[in-house]
Amino acid sequence: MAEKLKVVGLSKTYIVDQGTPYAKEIPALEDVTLTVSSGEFVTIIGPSGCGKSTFLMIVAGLVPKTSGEIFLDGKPVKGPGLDRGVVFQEFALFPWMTVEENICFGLEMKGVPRRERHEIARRYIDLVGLRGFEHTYPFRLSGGMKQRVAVARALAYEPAVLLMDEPFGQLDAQTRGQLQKMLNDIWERTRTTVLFVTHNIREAIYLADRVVVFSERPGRVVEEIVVDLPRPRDPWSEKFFAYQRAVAEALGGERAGFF
Amino acid sequence: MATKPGTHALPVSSRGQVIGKEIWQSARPILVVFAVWELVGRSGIVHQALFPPFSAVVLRLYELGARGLLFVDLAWSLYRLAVGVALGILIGTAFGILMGASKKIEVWMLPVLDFFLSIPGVAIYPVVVLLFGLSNKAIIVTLAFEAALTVMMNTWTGVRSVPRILIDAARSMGASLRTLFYRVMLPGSLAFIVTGYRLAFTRAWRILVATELMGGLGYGLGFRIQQGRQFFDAALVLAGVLVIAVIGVVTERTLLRWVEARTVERWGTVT
Repeated sequence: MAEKLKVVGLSKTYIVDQGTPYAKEIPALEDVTLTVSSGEFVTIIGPSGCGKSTFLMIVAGLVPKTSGEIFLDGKPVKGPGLDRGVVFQEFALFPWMTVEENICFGLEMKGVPRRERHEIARRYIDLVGLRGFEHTYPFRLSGGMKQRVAVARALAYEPAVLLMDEPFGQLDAQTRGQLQKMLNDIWERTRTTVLFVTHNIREAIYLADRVVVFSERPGRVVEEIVVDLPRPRDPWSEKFFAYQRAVAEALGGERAGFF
Repeated sequence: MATKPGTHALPVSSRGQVIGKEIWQSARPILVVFAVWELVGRSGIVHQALFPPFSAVVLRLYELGARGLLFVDLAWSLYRLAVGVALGILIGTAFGILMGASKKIEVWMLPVLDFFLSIPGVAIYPVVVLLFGLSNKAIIVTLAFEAALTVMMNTWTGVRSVPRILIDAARSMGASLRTLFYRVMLPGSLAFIVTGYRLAFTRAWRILVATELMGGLGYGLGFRIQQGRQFFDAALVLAGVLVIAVIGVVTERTLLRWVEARTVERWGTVT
């Protein structure tokens, strides 16, 4: 498979209390190298505070990197852009736009004509199962529905890669499961390249072709586990449990609180 | 997810009923005040020439209205208010947004803003009169000054209140600075901006009356009160005060309310 996204030797150091005598450097990411193939679903998992979200935001171009290179389709990434679609944990829908207007925003930025925007938006609203809510404002939607809109918004302008930052982290277990299933269905149909950050082992295995395990801060890649299971995955199968064990052990196992 | 939004079978009172109830609830205490005023005025505790009853004031108001003077005064006052506040809103919004958008501008403007905000608008008026003479222009400039400061403060707060994540979301979709401004910063800070406009109206209204009381400009509600005092016409003074109160309530309650109902309330940004 063709290389889609390539990150080479990425490091990030935060400076806190800059300009004061207490200023100090906090390394968040250390020499992260990662390649995502075209059409591949990769999840990044790691303990909280390991810099996995920072990593994703750097790839999104929203946070500056300290050193390293990022290539998308062979071209170096500079700043944010429509070639990457971002889904945030906090949904980040514009409260002053309806569901449809939110989805149209990216299309408008892309320069899609009005009539077409409308059609595409409708198609993606159907895709995430929100027909009938086109003209609803976000504050009337539940968390799960909001995140469906956010997924539709990011998919609608057809970015080369979808970046998802713990997108289901704020949802209750059942809603979370529903959205995981939905995302799996969508992915099986569209085969979009996805880079997905999570701290949930089962979620990581259920969705991914490959699970990338990060270490504690400063984040480094400690292991990559290829998940070779037919989709949709059966989360109660023995093989699934075996993968769960493998990921948990890579994260430090029971000693580190993963069981 | 099968039910359409907005369909419900709950019994609800009509919009008109709700509004009617609200108006009655706020009018009731005012009517009591008028009744007490009438009783005190008639009782003779205070001489009627000094404190005429409510009915006498209403009669005086009717005379003023019939002569057309009331409307001339009203028109002048509202004209000064409208032009002054409009100018203030334009200047204040622009500078408020600049302050919110740029840290450099904020660092320079905030102390200046704080400094001027601590000066009561009425105290600025004599300074403005020195520059512009005892004129309409002086009043308008004073109002614009006060309104601009108020609007600036609120707009600045509003722009800073726009969640970082929404800006990031827009940036991730390749939004230009211009798009960020019009489609994210502006609607995102609208709740604060509209509050600022309302506040500006209220403050400007107070200053307007005060400046009209001070200056001999010939027309205006404040001027009419001042004239009433000079001619020992208590009913005229109270009639002026009454109109000022009514106009104040009406502008505060209705003006910009519809903007809020159509924007921030619809979005759920405020309730």
